[in-house]
Order: sequence, then structure tokens, then C-alpha cells
Amino acid sequence: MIKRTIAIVLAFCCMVLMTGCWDAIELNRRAIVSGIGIDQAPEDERKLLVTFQVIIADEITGKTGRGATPTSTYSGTGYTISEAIRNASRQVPRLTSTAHARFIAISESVARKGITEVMDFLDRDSDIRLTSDVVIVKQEISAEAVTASLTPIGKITAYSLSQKAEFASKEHGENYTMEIDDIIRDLLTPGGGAVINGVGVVGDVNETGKKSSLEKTKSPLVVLEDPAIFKGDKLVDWLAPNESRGMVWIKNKMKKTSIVLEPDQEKGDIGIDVIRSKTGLQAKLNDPLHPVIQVSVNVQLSIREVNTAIDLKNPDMLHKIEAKANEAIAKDLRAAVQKAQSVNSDIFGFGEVVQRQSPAAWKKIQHQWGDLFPQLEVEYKVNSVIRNTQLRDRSYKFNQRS
Amino acid sequence: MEKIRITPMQIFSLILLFELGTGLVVNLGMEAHKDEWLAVLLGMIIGLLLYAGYTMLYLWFPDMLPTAYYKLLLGKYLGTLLGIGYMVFFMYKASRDLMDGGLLVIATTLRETPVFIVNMLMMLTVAYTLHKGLEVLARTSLIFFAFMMVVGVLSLLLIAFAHIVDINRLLPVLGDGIGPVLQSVSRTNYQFPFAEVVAFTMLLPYLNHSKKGIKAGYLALLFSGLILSFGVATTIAVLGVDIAERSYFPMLITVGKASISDFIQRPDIFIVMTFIIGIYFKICIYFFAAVIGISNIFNIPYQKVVYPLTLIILTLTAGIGRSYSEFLLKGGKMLYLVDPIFFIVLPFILLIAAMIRKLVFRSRSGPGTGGGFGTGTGDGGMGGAGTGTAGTYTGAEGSSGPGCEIPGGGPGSGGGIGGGGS
Repeated sequence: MIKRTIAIVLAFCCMVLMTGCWDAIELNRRAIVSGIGIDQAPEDERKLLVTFQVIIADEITGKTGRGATPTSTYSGTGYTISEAIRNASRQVPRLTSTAHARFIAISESVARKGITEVMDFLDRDSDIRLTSDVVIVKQEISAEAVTASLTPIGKITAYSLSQKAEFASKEHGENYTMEIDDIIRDLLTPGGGAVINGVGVVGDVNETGKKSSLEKTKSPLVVLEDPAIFKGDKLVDWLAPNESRGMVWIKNKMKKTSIVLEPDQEKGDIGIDVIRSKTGLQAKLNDPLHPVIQVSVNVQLSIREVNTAIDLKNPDMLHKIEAKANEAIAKDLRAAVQKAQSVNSDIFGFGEVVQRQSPAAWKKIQHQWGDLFPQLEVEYKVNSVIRNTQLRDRSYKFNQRS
Repeated sequence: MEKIRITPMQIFSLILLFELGTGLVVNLGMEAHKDEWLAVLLGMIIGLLLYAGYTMLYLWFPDMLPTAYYKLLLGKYLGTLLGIGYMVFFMYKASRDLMDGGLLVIATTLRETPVFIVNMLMMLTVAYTLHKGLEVLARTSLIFFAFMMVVGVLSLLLIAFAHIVDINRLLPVLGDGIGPVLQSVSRTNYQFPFAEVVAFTMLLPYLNHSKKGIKAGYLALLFSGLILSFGVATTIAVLGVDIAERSYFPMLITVGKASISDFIQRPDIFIVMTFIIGIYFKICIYFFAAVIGISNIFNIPYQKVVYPLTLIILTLTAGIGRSYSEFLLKGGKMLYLVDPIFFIVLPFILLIAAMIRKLVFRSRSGPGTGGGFGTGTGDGGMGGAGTGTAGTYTGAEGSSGPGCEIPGGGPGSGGGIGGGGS
């Protein structure tokens, strides 16, 4: 009997332990952060102003909503991000939970001073996922404004921005999704630096955060722009559209893009889609101290628009167009490499190509890579194939002419 | 000895869970950087050799616990001392693994919970299982083995389809030559987790088919080595060598990277699950080894030992390190200063002692004739020992050379196996 009583008492003691997680905080006591904006604090150069886009669940579900905005922002300042988060907690009635943050917007002014400090937090923190997208906000707008903006499609700006990055990289070919670990790897490339997508605003920046802006069909939008190029962890320049396309190509991230060509003998444009692409990098080490990098691109094309009277039934004509496409692509590649060389930042990892090919050769030149890279000779080999011309061969103009 | 029997399939799944338990998730040291996967493979080969040594000892004494044949081979006092040494070692290892598990859980999910509470919950489960006996553990392992395989295949598919693997990150292979790989193998890779299979010497006597069971062990080691090597290669190919090196739990982050559009997110919780399962089995096996050994040495019933040892292991974790870095640093030092003694040196000495013993018994022509031996190898003056009649024996401590007489040897079977130990 005594044994039994003891057993029951012990069992009840265990119940205290089994009530659940020690640190469970239910959803109704959490503020889910969907995006983070990092600016320089106005009062102190060394301080950061960190803005959180918080999802207001009541407004998303609709039933209990008050008709307010689906997201709201809170911000705090601090010398480090974690300090800023602690400071922001004075404004937030709940625990800020960053596990679902989908984008990190860093302002250009912070990026120009160096992003190492910011990246370490993002890398280390056990809540923030490595899959969050990182973007740089153009000088004229603040990361705070981007974080505070609203979006017509989808309710949460952060998620819609990360989807913009995803689809722009799939369809447009001047960006690719840059996640936290991509950037850390880029920062560690010897003599290299990061490339990070830019973000801008079309329309009035001051309007983006107002709910009234969504009541028009043409509301001001946060848009993805061409990437910024970094030397080490410092932003040095922005890429032009053709440069960023070349960059995406060399990094073998090209999925789809469109090329516009003009055939020699006829007037008018041809619109061509890249439907598949693969890039290979090789180093030629005939002279180990002066490596030559060979960029070879294999592309599959599809003709989408023909505003001329050329005969696309004729394979010779297709070959001519392919040759023109090769030239156009090589031009983009060259532009990208020239840009990287002009700021002396090996964003493509050409050094790593040499290292992969010959670790011994790399050991010899590794310390002079900073001097070698700007003069590096790069060869371009583009090989394109037109796979199809959609549903028609010639344009109706072809018959019109004859 | 308990009347329990484990099947080859069970020993296979036990060894596999034991090897993968911590190895798959924690940072393996990454001293060979990009070529860590090669180092793991080489470590596995050395691990297989060590396993061959351990099983050789087992096959010579198939019905005895190691603690019993230590006494047989090294004499009563030295053998007991060695047995206690091994038990302390197993307990230390169990507490380290417990701490590993606890730290992962608080680092990833239960951040506010004191690590002691997490450890306590784990240890209570372990103690309960062992209270029920080895057979229960062995059967449980089959279920969790199946579960681990399913999760493993799922994670692999996720990683494969998430387009995050870049083989270039593994290149160049052997960029700095074979040197770093060999150094890494010699310092950590053969021991962790492969040589840790030494704990299974305490379990092997329970096999129902010794030959098949040993074969299953080889297979399990080979299989786990391949999985580990592949896991390390995947980690590096996904994260790049730098991030992988700096992470405490690289596999967790690798799988966390695998999100397929917005549909499948945060699959890393699976890894936490498999890790907890693996840790559980690892602790169970070390703990079982310690418990059964101590009950054998001191002749205390097995179930009476379980709970006191639970408390000892729990309190050991409290003193093992104040931070994770300190914990790892100590572990790393142990790994190449103390562990090799238990993984290699002592089994090697035992093997030599056993061989000499076998030779002596073979040379003996019949019952009644004296036979004796001493180790002339200078291994700390290991004494010879011989069996007497059924269950008793006379030990010779630090014997002075050959010629220690064994009175009236019992029916010493051809293989030189004496009577049951306890």
C-alpha cells in the first residue's frame, strides 16, 4: 500500500514535468516577422536601424479583421542587430519571432560600409533561415520604406518580394535568388565579393506604405532591380541590365531571358527566348602565371517574335540567327567581366576555377590574384541552337512581300 | 548473464543507429576540409579492422562478457581494474552523447529550457528502456531503423530536388595532397564514430548466431560509413566547406536549406528527430555496456545498477563543460589522447594476451600437465592467467616471465576457452 502511494505521488510529480515545452510560446503571443529592413540609424553613423515587418494575423484571416493593413512595422536602433531587436521589443506587445522572415533588405548606405556584421548575425542566428532572400535597397529609398510597403498581389510584402525575386530569376534572367548562404560563400571567394539583388520603388515612395495606394489599379510598387556588385563586403557599384545578364550567365544561373536581334538583310526585330542554358568555366593554364579563363555557354533558343520577312523554314537562316545570338550573348558576357574587372572583384569565382583545375598553380598565383584579375584574359565560346519557332515558321510578312 | 538473445538483424540496426546517431548530425571535425568525406571512408576502413580485432576476441570467448575475459587474460586485479576502466569510459561516452543531444535540442528548439532538464528527460527514457532489458532495446531499434531510413531517403530526395547541390564545391579533390586527410583520419575519423563500436563488445555475447551477427556488424559499419561519407559530401556540396566547417550541426542546416518553393519548408525538424533517436540509441548502448559490465564485475543484479548509474551519468554531464565550445574542445582532446587507449591499445594487448594463451593451451598435451605463460612483450608486465576448473581460476599478477603453473587444467577446449566467468 505504501509502495503504491509513493508510486502515485511520483507519477503526479512527473506530471509537472510533462506539461509541455518549457519555452512554448503560442502563436497568439508571438509577432511573426516576415521581413527585416536594415538601415543606418539617423542619429549615429555606427548604429543600425532595424525594421521588422510583422504579420497581423487577424487581418490575414479576414474574419476578425478591423480593415487595417495586413502587415505593420516596428523598428529599433542598436550597434548590432540583436541589440536593435531588443530595443524594438519596447514597441511590440509580443515576442518577435524571426523564424519566418523571408527577406532581408539592406540599405545601400549600410552596404557601402560593409555587410560583414549584418551577415554574421544572419548566418549565426538559429531562428533565421539560410533560405531568406537578401536584397539591397537603392540609395534614394530606405530599407524601412521597403519593409513598410504594401503589395497588391498577396497580402504580405515580404513574401511577395521574395516571390518576385524567384520569378524574375526564372523569367527575366537578370537576377537569381540570392540567399544568405550564397552571399556568405561569395564573400569568401578569394579576391571576390558578393552580388546582391537590388530593390527599388516605382511610383511615389511615400505612398507605398499607405493602404489607399492599393485602391488604385496602378499602385506604387516595390520592384526588383539589377544587382549590386561588391568588392569584398562593400558595395562598389550597380550592374547595368546587360552586365547583370552576363553575370547571371557566367554564374550558370540563367534559366530564361529574351534576346532581341536584327537580321542583316531585312529590317525589323526578331525576339528570341532562351529556354535552357548551361555554362561551363575552364581555366587554360599553359602559362601558369597567366591563366586564361574560358567561358563556354550552351543555349537553347526559341523564336517568339519575327517582325521581318525572313524565311525561317530554311535552316541556313536559322544558323545565321544562331550566330547573331552567339554574338549578342558574348557581348553580355564580356560586359559583365569588364565590369567585374574594373572594380577588381572576382564575383564569378574565376580564382576558384583555377584552383579546381590545378591546386598547385593556384598556390603560386593566389597572392597576386588581386593584380592578375583585372588583366585576366577571358575567352567566350557561345554555342546556341534554335530548338523551335513556336507554332509558325515564317511570319505573315513573308507572304505579304511576295 | 541474462537469458537474452539478439538476432543479426537487430545487431545490424543497433550498430547502424549507434554509428549514425551522432555522426550524421554533429560536425565531424572537418580537419580534412573539402576531403572530409574521403577521411570518413578511410576512417571506416580502419574502423572495420578494429572491429575485426574486437570480434576475434569475442569469438575466442563467445559466451563471456568482456569484463569476464579481462580477468581471465590479465589476472584478477588487473582484469577487474581494466573492466572498471572500460565501464568508466563507457559512462563518460554516454554522458558526452547525452550532452551532445541536449545541446542540439536547446540550440534548435527549446532555447529557454535548461539543458539539465532536457538531459533528464532523455536519461529517464534510457533508464526505463534498460530497466526492461536489452531485448526491448534491440526490438525497438528495428522500428526506428526503418523510420530513420524513410526520413533519410526523404531528406535526400528533398535535397536532390531543391537544386542546392553544387558538386564544384567539393572540388578539387585532394587539393592539398593526401596529408591533411591522413592527419584527420589519424586524429579523429577512425575513432569517431567507427572505433566507438568497441561498446558492442559488451553486447556481442548476447548474439544468437555469432557468425551471422558478426557479419551483420561488418555490414552495418560499412553501410554507416558510406552513409556518413555521403552525408558529409552532401553537406559540403550544399553549404560550401566554410559554412559546413563553422557549423555545429551542418546536416541540420543542409536539410534546412532544402525548401521546395513554398510548399515544403523547414524539413530540418526531421533531422532533429533522427538525431534524438540516434542519440537515444547511442546512450542506451554505452549505458547498457556500462551497466552490464558493472553488474558483472561487482556481482550486483543488473536492474539494481541501472538507476544509480543514471544519476551518475546525469551529474557527469553537468561537469563536462560550461559551454559548447569547451565541451567540444575537451571532447576533441579526449578523442586523441585518451580514447585511443580504449579503442586500440588495450584491445591490442588483450588480443596478444589471448593469442599467447591460445598457444599455451594448444601446446599443452593433456590434462594435468602444467602450462603457463607470461607476456614477454613488455606491455606493462601483463601477467598471464589460466583457467582452473569450472569457473574458478588462478591468476598470476605481473608474473615474472613464463612458467606459472596452472594446476590441473579443466576440460580446456581446443580453442583455449575456459569456463564461464561468473
